[in-house]
Amino acid sequence: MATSVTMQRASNDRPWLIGLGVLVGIGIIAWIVQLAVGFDVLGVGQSVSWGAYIATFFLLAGAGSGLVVLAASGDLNVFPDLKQYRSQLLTGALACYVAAGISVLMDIGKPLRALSMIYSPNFKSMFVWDFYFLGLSVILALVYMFKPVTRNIVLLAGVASTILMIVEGWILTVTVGTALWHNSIIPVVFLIEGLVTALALVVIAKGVTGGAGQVARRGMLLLLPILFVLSFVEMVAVLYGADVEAATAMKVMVAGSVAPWYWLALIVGVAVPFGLLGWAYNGVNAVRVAAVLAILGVFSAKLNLLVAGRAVPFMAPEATYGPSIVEIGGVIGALGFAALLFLLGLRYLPGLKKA
Amino acid sequence: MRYGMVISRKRCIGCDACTVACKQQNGTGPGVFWRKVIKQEHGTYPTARYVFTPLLCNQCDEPPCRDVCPVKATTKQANGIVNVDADKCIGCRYCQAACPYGARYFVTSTSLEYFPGKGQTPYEKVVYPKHQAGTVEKCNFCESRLKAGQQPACVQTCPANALTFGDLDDPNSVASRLITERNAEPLRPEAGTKPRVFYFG
Repeated sequence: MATSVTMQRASNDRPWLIGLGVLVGIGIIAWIVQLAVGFDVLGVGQSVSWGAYIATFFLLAGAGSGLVVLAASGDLNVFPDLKQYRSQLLTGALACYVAAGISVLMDIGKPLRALSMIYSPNFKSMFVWDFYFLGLSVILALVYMFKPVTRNIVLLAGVASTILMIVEGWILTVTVGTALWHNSIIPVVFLIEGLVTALALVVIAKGVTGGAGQVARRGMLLLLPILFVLSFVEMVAVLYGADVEAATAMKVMVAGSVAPWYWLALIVGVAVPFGLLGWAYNGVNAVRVAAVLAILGVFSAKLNLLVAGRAVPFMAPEATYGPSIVEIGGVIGALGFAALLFLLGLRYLPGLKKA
Repeated sequence: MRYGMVISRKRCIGCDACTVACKQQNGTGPGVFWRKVIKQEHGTYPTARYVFTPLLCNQCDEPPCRDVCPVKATTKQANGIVNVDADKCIGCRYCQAACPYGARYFVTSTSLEYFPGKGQTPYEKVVYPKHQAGTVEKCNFCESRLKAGQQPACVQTCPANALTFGDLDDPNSVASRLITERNAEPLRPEAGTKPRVFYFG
């Protein structure tokens, strides 16, 4: 019986695996083109130096951390309904972490030299802390997944993942040269965005009919308004604050060249999913659309923050940014890689084959 | 000894000779400007005027670019120069975001041409391979010229004598005296980076 279930699953997800394989292929081709031709094929420039790749990195690392936190909340009986999905949540987290690592590697000029962070790290750099907390989160998620579950390992994995989300926010807040990022609200926003992304992934996978789906729906209904309020608070505080440079960048963010990303994040990524989850939750497709829109919103918010922060360079005209075809290919590849790893995990990892 | 530069905005005529001299000396590619001259219009008619601000790495005593570099590729040397080791740089561009002066540049490729479609000039073929694609670079006060007892190329070239280079640890150097006598100030002192490039006029 178990064998027939496994075989049926295998044949069911084959089209998905092939489709995701194609996406990964697109990403690989994009990366090869970028390495062969140079970074001129990307949309980033000398001022807006971080774009879609780093936004994808933040999105995936946040999603991975959020999924670990959800798994931990199940085992700690905060949300007991999630306990039975521990392995799936952790598989998803690991897939997101690995794809996040690939995303950041695609963004750096000398990817192989990233190993220098192991033998010559500068611990004053938040980038190094991010690197180590990402590594630690991966290790703890693996231990959590494959070793007998103890309260200590659950707590350790949950705390490390939470810190990872905060450190990612700190990467931005400590940069002296970018006024818009000097904002202590950013790590909090990153933390909530990570949880929203993870909850949205649960909704996509489970719908909102079961216990886990209901937890995810309620979680999103709680966190989406908080994201909305935080965005509003941040906008007003910076626009009317004393820091002229930050205020100028905020104007670009909400009404300048990158404003579409901001309003996309706020309306399509927060308000619409909130409405769909609140009032149309009987429709399975509607809640899944809401979850996809929420993830799109988180991505847009991160991209908007990255670009707007750097769009007003010191004593220079406003800089613009739009992801290039190669960059879009890379992002598609990274997202496809995360999904592919997740499906392969469900297919081949011990204990998950019958899940 | 710690080097620094004092710039007279009044003397600067915005000719960009320093920009060109820098590119010639260091062979930087298209889009990369270790130094440049910012031209801004101030005031209103009939008293409107241009203000020229030569902008380069400020060789800060507390360089945020050094602090954020994950692999210690950026170092502050004893002579005051902030140096980037291209062999260590991973090209993450975190330092670009950290620099308050926009003084750091990412080398996207070493096969670019100043005259697109016409191939690299013989000069470009010689100088571009000295840079590493995928790394960040910036002004180093023409360190090789300093070792040879020369001034930075921009200082030597400036036709208006707007740039004064010297040892800011020596209170009797021309640069130090200019700072004191002309009340020269750094750009963005509020960033707390203790820059070693000062402006007056």
